[in-house]
Amino acid sequence: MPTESKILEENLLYIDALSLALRDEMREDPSVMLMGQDIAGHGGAFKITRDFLEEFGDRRVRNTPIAESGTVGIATGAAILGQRPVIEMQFADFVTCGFNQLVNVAAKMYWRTECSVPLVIRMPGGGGMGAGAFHSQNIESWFLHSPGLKVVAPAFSDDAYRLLRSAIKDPNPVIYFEHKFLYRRERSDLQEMQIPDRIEGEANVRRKGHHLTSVSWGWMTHRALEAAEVMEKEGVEIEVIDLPVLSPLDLSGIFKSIEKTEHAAIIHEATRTAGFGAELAARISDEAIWNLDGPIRRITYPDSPSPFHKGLEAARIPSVDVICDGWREVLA
Amino acid sequence: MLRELHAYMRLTREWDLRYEKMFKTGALSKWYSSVGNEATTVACGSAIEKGDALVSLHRDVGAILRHYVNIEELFPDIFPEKMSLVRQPLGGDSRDRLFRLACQMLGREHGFSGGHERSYHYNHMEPDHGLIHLGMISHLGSMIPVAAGAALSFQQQGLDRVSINFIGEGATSTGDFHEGLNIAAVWKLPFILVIENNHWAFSTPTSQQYACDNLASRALGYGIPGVEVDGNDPLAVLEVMQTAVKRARAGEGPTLVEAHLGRHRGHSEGDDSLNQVPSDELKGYLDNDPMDLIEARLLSSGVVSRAWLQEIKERSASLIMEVVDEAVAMPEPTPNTDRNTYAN
Repeated sequence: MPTESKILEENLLYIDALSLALRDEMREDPSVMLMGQDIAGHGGAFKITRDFLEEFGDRRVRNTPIAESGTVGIATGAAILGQRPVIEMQFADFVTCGFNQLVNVAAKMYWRTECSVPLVIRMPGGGGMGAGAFHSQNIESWFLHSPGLKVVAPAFSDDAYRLLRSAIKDPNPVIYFEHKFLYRRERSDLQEMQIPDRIEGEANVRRKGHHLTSVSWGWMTHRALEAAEVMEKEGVEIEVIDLPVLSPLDLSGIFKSIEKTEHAAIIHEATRTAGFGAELAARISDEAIWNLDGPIRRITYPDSPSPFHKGLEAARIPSVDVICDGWREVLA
Repeated sequence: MLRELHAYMRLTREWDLRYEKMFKTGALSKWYSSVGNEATTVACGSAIEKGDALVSLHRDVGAILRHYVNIEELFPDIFPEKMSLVRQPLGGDSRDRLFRLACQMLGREHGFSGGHERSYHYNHMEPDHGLIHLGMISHLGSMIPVAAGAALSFQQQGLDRVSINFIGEGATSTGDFHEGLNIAAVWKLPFILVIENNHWAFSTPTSQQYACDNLASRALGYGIPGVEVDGNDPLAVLEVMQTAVKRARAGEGPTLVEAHLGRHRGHSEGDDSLNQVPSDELKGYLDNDPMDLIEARLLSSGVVSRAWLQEIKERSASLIMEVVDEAVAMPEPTPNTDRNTYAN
């Protein structure tokens, strides 16, 4: 039995894990600086950087004008020359205005020039709050199709803490998706841990099962765990694999699980066509199709923007019922 | 001072003429010429020092050469006595940098990007010599915020270093021009943005690019100084740049410089974009070739003779011929697909 490791924070809220990770990195490394809209005096739209201005000063905690492209570009230049900027996109959706700087300048910089760009873009994303078409999107696929970026989407507070610190230490640009729905809902204990100085691929089994391998990330991992409880009552054991890191991608755990379960499903909150589920299904098909005893099912948002009304939105986000139905079809 | 500026301008001119010839013989698939930009770029390169950041475009080899090489080291017999250098050289091996730059132009293994990136789309850093050079990407205007970011890094470290970036007048229409310059102004970053206004963006004249009288006046909207200058006059450009650099080093923030130049070549060699320039306008530009202007000035001041000008021209041309030939003889990159996309 491994020795019990020390618990640093009990029941740590996801949003507090983000603040703590930022604060710990800023205390440890003076080259870490924060940039974003309304993050200084106001502490950010979600108050993640509340009181940071007082502790770290206005050089290291900088409000930016409403200029996502300019901000990503300036952070890229500063990162090349030794700073470690962390940008808070007020909402992940707004990153579109800085898209060129991310996918063409920051992402390609190392390959083109061997100059590293240690940059983190924090992306409050995802739906569930009736926030409409421009405050709810799940846009991880755009960045996964852009070599040079790492992409992280933690579902749990402890992963959120560890991966944000690792993202800041990593010498590459990291797109860090933090789910707004989880901010004040997800809690987990934060144990004393080593903080790796790189983001590596990881796939974590969050629930063991032997009938079907279900892969998800972010909020959908929580939905998958709820749905697995329902299935248990039907005598079906789902193996729930959480992917807190989407790039680099570690598929070995998924393949190993499929050897056992012979069934696979992918759940994502992002829209369906060319979503990351399509890539995962293709990889599973390439490598593990002979182990499968059924189709690879994608359970996703439909190909539509996010509606404002909560009921309209809820009809689109994979629910526990929709997930269970999807799994049942694969197992039928 | 004029003699020094001239020497770098001549080296720059011969650099372009060599590649233009190679393009015409088919030895080079593409060339963007900086003929006509030398007075501005060499003067700008003369205004920066060790530890400053140079962020260049495809017509800025004058600034690159001014920053990379020490002319006295290249031609010790022509410049036996120390010139009254406007700025100190960086140190390091001038000729080797020139050779590697030639390899970069030709996509050779030994170039700054090992053949992975075209011509001026590379970075070159020599921390020991305080050489910080960031190249362009193809999206014009995109490097403005990045160059301002280099300035931010200096500000964070409490260094009195500056970052200079060139763009054409066409890129002033991009969002990054506005966003980068605005943030740089709000944060008082040590940043100088030089617009090389040659009045034609590919085939688009200024009348179809912007509706204001001049671009320097846009600085007013950012609360920073904006200066128009004759880009064919290296002394005038140098003076403007030295003022801007002094201001930036003192923590007073960015300056926008608009240097008016002539369009001497097409957007790239071999395209027919120069046909769009009305012939009398083109004649005006060619009649005001900055190379001719500075040589006339040197001759009339009695500092140098026509034979001396001829000698430095021939020596520059033969040195460049030599390094380009050496670069041509260097190995092509070994085909591979495993260049690292991520830093380890």
